[in-house]
Amino acid sequence: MDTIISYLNNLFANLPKSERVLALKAQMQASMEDKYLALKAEGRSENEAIGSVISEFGNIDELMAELGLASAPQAAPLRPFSLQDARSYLAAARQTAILIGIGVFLCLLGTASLIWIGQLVDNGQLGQHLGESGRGALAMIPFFILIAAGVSMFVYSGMKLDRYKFLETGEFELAPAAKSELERQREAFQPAFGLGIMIGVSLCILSPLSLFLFSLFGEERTGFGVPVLLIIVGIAVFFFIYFGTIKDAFNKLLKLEEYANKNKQETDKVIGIVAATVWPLAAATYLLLGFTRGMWGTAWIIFPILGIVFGVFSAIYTGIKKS
Amino acid sequence: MTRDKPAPVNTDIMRGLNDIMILYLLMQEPSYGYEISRQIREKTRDGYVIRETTLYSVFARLESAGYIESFSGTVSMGRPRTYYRITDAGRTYYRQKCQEWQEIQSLLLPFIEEE
Repeated sequence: MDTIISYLNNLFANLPKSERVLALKAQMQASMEDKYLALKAEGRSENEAIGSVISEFGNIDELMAELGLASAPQAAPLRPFSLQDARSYLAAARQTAILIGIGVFLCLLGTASLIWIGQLVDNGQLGQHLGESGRGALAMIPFFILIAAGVSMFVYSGMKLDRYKFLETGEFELAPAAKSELERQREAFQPAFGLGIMIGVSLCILSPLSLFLFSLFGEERTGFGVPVLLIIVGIAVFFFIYFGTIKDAFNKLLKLEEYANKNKQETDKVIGIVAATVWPLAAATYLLLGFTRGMWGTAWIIFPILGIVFGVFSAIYTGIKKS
Repeated sequence: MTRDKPAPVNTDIMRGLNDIMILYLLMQEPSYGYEISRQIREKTRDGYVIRETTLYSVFARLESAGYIESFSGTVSMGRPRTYYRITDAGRTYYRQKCQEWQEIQSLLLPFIEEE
């Protein structure tokens, strides 16, 4: 019976919900229900009964014509998208890929600078002539400037891509000439993409090495390894975002992978999004522990741990996506 | 049982005759959707199965023309159900339609040849 009801609901979905239409729909449902129950009483199987009722339903256009309703709104003609359009979109995507990549890098660089300067201050190599609060500010100023610069890049690139939003939903028709050209370009881009992701993953995995390298120069220098680790991770994330965004642009245009069906999911940007969330969170945790507990010298352990975890995550994630 | 068999009569021709069938049945007694479609099937010995959309298109048309009117009633199961009854205008229209059909029939008869 549910099948019949949902069949009817689908047919009526595009019709105005006027009292008259709804009354007719309710009557039709009751009538179909009667028919279904009668067939079941005759000993028909569930499938037979439903099949019979639906096959005797008729054509909804007939009813709509009678009610003076326009036939179901035709799917709006898809917006044409020429090779020219595709080229300018790809150019914009490349630019924003760089901007977002740099933005994330700057956020990580900000955190790195915070730790680096913090270490210098702690070791008495910097800000000796400043007061207690002045020394704190010394580390915070470049941090906030870099974060602000990074965030404004996100905002700017978001605005830049705003007019291409309709590509997300696939409501456009790519010109055939553009299609073959883009397929060729995408094919040519694949090796670069693979290489880019590989470099990114390798950098993530290797990043904790910086900690060991710095600890070779003495216990008190270990802390300087963390900012270096962050910068390496920042470069890796730049690779993920740059190559990921361009591939995503091709997929969007050609309606491939996650854009192949309508209920697409934003999966390709996952690494970038995770990075952009997790690293600033780690930085915030570090600051919190530093300011409230004075754990500047020990809390940095968050970063190498996160570096390893993140490296493993990106490697596994990319591996799964490829297979 | 021939429920799943396609209707042997051309449905295009039948469409114009739906009014007569439905009005005839409503002249016997007020009735509702499923009952009418069941009686049509029975009276035509499974020869014509009226589609749901056809039936309710006719209801909608006859009701706006004032030939039938709807009212709510209940059936044994206690479910609310919309009944239709014929109006005086409906009876006049029915007689008119029957006459039309008889004329068509007598006009057409000399041209009908059985194999």
